[in-house]
Amino acid sequence: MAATNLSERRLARLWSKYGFVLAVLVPILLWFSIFSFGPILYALYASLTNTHSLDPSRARFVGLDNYISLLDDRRFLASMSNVFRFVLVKGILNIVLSLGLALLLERLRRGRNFYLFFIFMPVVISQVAVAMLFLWLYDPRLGLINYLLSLVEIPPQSFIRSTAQAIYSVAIADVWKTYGYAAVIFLAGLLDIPQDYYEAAKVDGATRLQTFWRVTLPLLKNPLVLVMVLIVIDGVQHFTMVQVMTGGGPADSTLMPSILVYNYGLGANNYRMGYACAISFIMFVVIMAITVFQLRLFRSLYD
Amino acid sequence: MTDISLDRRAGGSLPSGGAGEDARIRLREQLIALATHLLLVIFAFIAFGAMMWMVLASFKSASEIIAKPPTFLPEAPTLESYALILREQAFGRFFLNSIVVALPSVLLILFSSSIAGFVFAKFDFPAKEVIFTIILSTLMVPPAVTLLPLFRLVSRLGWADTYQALVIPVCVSAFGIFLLRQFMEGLPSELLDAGRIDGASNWWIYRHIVLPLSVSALSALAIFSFLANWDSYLWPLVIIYEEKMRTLPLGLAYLLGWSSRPRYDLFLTGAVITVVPVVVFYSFFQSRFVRGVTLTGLKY
Repeated sequence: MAATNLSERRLARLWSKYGFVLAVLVPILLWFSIFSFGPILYALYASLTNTHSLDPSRARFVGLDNYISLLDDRRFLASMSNVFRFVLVKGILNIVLSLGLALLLERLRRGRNFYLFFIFMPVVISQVAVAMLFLWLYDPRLGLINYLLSLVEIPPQSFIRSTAQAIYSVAIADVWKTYGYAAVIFLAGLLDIPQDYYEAAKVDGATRLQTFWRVTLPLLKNPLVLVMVLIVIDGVQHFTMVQVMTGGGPADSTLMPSILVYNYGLGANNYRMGYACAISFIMFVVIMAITVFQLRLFRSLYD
Repeated sequence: MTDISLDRRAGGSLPSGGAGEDARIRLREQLIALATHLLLVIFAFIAFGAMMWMVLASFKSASEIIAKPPTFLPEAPTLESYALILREQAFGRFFLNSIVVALPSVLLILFSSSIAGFVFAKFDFPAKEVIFTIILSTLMVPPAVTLLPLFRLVSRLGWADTYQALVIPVCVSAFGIFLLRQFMEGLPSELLDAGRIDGASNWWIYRHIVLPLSVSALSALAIFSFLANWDSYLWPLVIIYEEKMRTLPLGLAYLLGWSSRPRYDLFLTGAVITVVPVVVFYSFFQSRFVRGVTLTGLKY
């Protein structure tokens, strides 16, 4: 009798201590198990099988076969080299433009929000809408860009219809939409740098350029790492704008790994879920590796 | 990153030299200021001009849009393409679908992130850091990994072509939990203890003390989860087949296959319908959007 009382009291005490935590965490963890951990583990398992997307019951364990076949898959290799170029172009343009813009905005005494209002606007609008806008701008015959080029006597370009230009054209459209975001991060970082540092540099007779390389850039280390990591994570997974603008074409010249996951996994005549999941895990590993590398690099550069 | 307003910290400047020197320096500074403004106007024009041109184009006739040389202002403003897109494509319905999906998704993200953030920030319990780290680590996994398993799962549940298929798999956010935990750890524990001494329940403390103090983090989270949801394309593409269940990005992308020639009049009008609510919302809360970037810092 006394024992039950004791354990009941202990239970009641535990409940009063952890009841709220349990009431919150149990549903949250249940959701994560069903919609996050579960699917991740299932994808890992599926990547080791020949699972069919619509009928997984006949799945057979094939070990690393999917990963090995990928090394010979021309389309997969093309998608990796495309995404590499995409991230590189996007990254360089994005950082140069957003940092330049942030430096300009920093100089202003007032009116910062006025300019930011316009410059930040593309960040908030939908990617599919941006893709539509650029489809129009890039149209070889009807588009504005070729019209503007014709005014300065440059022959018309094919942009997204050409295997040579398509990936860069899409990357530029993506930069137009996203660089305002990075600019705000850089601007916040610039405004955080105490004025005394610049005064000290001035007293020491540093030129503007020296001040930028020796004072500003090192102090922008954190925003720079953040922006670079975001660009890589975002770029390697990129799907929407490329899918809408080119669908991976022409001739696979803009094919992205995530488009391949979609095509192999759910495209007609494919439904190779195991194979597609293997691609998605390679993306995961690549993103992790580059992110860790970037963080290391910056630590060794400036610390 | 912390919540900072976009203003320079206060600081002094160096005293300057003689009077003639002064005038020259002032002229130089004015020239630099002029160049700065000029460059910024170009930046603003490239961003805003392209969008403005798109909006203006939606009021042009199909033939004027592809006319050469292109016109900037519509010569004969018309609502033709709006009428066409609403008649031939269920854009009204797509708009409604987008709202019906975005609102509950955002509200559920706000609720789940804030209450879980509260638990992780202000309670002690076994395995807390382990659980938190596991949740946080899912942020590194690209959505492409879970795409096909989620497709299987949601199809098996019989949710294809339903609203819950677009809401339930996105209604909890690891990022939101992380953001709100970070923010709430900064709230003074004395405030919560005062409530506890008065015998208030945890729910009451959450509802009446924690939530009101977290408005700035919540509004940043609301803005970015709304934008992500309004923009969402891949997941609806996978799980929605029926035309009447399409969201705006999906309906917009399907315009591409609607006719054999590119119908830029419809593409642009559809794009305008898609972006207008967001841009209006943005125009009213611009500073919150911009500050949200520095507060969330991690997303996008």
